[in-house]
Amino acid sequence: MSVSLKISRRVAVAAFASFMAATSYAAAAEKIVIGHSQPNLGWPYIAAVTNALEAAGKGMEGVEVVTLSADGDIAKQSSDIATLVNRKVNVLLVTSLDGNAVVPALKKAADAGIPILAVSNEPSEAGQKLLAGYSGPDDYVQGVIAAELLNDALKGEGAIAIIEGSPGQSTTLLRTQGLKDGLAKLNSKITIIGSQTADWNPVKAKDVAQAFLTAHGDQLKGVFAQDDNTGAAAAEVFKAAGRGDIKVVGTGGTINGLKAIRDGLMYGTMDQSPTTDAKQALDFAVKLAKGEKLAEKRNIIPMPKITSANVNEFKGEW
Amino acid sequence: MTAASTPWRFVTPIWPVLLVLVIGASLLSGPFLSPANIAAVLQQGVITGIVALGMTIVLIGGQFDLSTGATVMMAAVMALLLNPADGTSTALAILLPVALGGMIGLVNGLAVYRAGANSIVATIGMQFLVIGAVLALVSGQHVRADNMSEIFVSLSRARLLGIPYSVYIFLGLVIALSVMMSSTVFGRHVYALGGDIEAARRAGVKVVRTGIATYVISGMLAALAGVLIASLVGNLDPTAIRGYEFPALTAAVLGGTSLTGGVGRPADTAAAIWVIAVITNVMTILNYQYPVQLLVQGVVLTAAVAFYSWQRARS
Repeated sequence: MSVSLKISRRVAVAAFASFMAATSYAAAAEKIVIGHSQPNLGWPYIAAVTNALEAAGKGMEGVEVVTLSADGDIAKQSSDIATLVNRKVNVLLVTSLDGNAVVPALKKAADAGIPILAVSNEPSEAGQKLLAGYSGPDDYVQGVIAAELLNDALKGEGAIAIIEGSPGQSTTLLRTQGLKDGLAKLNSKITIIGSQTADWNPVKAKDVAQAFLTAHGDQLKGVFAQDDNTGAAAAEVFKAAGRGDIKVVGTGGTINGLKAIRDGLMYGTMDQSPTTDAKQALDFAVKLAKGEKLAEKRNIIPMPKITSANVNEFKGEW
Repeated sequence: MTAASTPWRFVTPIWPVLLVLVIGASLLSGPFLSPANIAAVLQQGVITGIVALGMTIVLIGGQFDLSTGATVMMAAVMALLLNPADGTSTALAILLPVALGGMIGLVNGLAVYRAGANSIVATIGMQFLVIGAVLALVSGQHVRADNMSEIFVSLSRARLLGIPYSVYIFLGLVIALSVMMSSTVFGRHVYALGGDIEAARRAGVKVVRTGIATYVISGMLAALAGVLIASLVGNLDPTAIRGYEFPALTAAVLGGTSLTGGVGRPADTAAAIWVIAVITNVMTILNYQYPVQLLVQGVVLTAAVAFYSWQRARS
């Protein structure tokens, strides 16, 4: 009895508060409300971007960031977006859980005249048409950067292998394609002699690394691992087998990746900073909320190369 | 029923299959039989293998345990969060996750054997609960332990005669569990549970207590597998190590464990684990891509299940 009373009182207070909040937005026309639909707190990078966005939003005068997390549920992301549309946010930031499933919800927001900025990942093609822009990293470009790093490390020749992410994921496919195209563009004599999935799992990455050693022996000179965790794990296997000379390039610039570079395990990686991602997204969001257009539709965040030469300039954020 | 005689049969078909595969693999790839690669194949089976041993015992009792993958994740994360840097923290990082794994098993066992819940649904529910709790705890971030003690690291990485310690741990478990299942009262009671639970009850088997024990064993083994993952990699994105329950279930079935209970042996599950490890290893060496690997595993599993059904129908 008393519990239900307490709950209903809380609901009433909340309802009143949101009513007050709604009227105060209307009163203060200057105030910008940014809605962010977030897919899943279980993804380290996305969780870090969300936290950085909220932190950066707090530091900006007259800006409020409202974050709703879909907790890995496609249906919840759709209803989250609907909620933000009904709240009449000035701009909608969307990091999609599923690039296809999110499209109908994006359509609703576009129909309501709310500018949409995709953040950190992009929806499918049908969804991209509805966007005011994209801000975030680019998997394909990361593959290209990895090609440049390996080409530098191996002085333009030698055999390499790829430790891929989960099979069929766009992240995996784009990073592999970026690497291949990057090597071709550099006229590199580096050849790719094997590629195997580790499913982002460092335990599997160790199995794959050992199999590469068995299969290719001394021929193997370098490895592109599609995230830092699998890269560091593979490098440990190579070192234990007395093949610390194999150049491993990871992806992400994570705390673990930077540590592996400092320890001399990995050759390099590229920075994918949640803070940079969040700040750029917020700047664009404010522009869009003020009715401005973005100069470019796709805005890739800078992803500087990291090797032992400059690893101390990066702190690693995730 | 053939159930009673099953633990005593010596050679099940999975062993000749393993032998043929090893010969085939060494013909297909010369370096397959190199000491480093043999050690790698043995190690590759350890983590899934330990989970599969627990799965085998629960299955022999006639139930499923699909919560084990979540328990693996919980234990790996917990071991790293306990930061095994010195003697005390190393002991805690091994014992606490295993104890919690046992408690998860206890709850599973109570739900299934005391409350009579369907074991597939109950343990999937437990899986969601544990994964949810772990992800909330780490708020989606990587977990790491930067200064792991030598003992903790050596669990999976130190070697004796070129073979990682974790392989000996696995072999020790296979032997201990084989003896337990074939030569103790408890083991015979588990087979009895899976054979005919009402008959077992009438014969005086303490059904609830025995059944709960199978889940506790499974939970503790899954947690141990998680601790070994922590020792092996030291850094994790928790979501990247989801899903160990299905490879473990696959191995148990491939080893001849019946999904309806009463039939199966820990050693046969171990043989099946090595069958899968050999296939995966040699196909990775030959650079067959994931779709082909999945296809081959599918063919092997389907053929095995068909064979076992045919064998059981005949006897």
